Amino acid sequence: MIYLKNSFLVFLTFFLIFIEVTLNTFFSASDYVEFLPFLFYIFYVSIYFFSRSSVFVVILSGCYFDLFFTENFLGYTSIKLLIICIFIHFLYLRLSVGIASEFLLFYLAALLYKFEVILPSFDISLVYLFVICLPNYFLFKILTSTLRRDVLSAKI
Amino acid sequence: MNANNSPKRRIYVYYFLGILFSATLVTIDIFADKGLSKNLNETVNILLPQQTLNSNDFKFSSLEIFKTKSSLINENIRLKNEVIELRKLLIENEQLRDENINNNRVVKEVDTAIYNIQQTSIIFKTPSDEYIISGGENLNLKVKDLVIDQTGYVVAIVTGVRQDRSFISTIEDSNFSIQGIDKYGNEYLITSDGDYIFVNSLKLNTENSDIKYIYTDISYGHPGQFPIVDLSSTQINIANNKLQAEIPLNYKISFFSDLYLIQAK
Repeated sequence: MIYLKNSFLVFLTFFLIFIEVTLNTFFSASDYVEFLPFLFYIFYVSIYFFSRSSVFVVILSGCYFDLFFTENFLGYTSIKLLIICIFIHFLYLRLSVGIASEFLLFYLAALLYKFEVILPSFDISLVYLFVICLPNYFLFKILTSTLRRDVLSAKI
Repeated sequence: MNANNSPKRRIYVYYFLGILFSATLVTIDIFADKGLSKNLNETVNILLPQQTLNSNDFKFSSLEIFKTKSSLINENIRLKNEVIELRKLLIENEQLRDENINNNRVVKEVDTAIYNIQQTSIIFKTPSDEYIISGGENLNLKVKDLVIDQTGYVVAIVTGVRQDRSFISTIEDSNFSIQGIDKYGNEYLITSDGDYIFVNSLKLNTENSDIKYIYTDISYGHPGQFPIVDLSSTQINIANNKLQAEIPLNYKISFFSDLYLIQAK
């Protein structure tokens, strides 16, 4: 059952990557519109689902990325994604509770996720990524509040 | 945030082991000169759905459900579908006409007897802002083949070739760099920061500001001479046997851009 669940998660992440790349290709005419569903998954793993089984899924999704969507050496994106998970989880455990701090973590995750784009023009890219992160974080919050199991038991 | 959710330290160890495993893959791929990723790419190609540009295969009139309805309704539906298909044909006709105009422009710019011109399109834009176009080893593409727009200017270079797709470095990429020459034989390095194109001379034989075009050249591994920039309306600075110019970048590559691949025959 665990293997089945992990295999499903692997294919789900492949699908998320494909959706992300396809949609962003369609939106490529605009700099300020970008949809990052795969980053949602990575962020979700970092703060809610930081477990042993996620390592396997993250490595395979990174390999999928390298095989089809980058010119990088195989394994490069896996390293990047694992570092994002460790770093974000480490900070999440040490930061105070709040939507602002969580948004900052999401922003930081996005910075690491897209650091190849950020580095050449640092100041401009920071603003552009901030604009992209706002709607994406909002979407992430909607999705996580809908998907989390305790949503029905939560007091209103 | 929540101390109860704190994982055991050994989970970090699994993550570090994952990093080590990935680093091993990188090392193998480096030593295999990307052989591992290329082989795997070809083997598991099924995991990447193929992009199709035409979406006019679906025909309402072919749906079986309509055959069971009364003839009057059928006729009504048939006519309705015919109108829909005619509208689609009209749109397609307009698109083909535009495409034809663009193709004619390119054919005027490029000598088709010497070069192969293949129309291509952006199929993916990756999160690291790399663009992937259709066409790869199946079209005998090579690294440093050129991608031009409908006006005949170079807008990208092929940087990596896979079985049926290729990676390109576009003129709006901050890592974009291409060498070119002018009509006097002066050599230049053209780079970009995404907003401006920078022209810097590498070897200046003649100090002349009447340059107009800077071209690609076979000596730099490109298929032939194609214009990269037009300096006729740009301020050129010549000092200490060095030429510099900055041109605002007005071109924006996107999914909808008309792109053409140039290969030497």
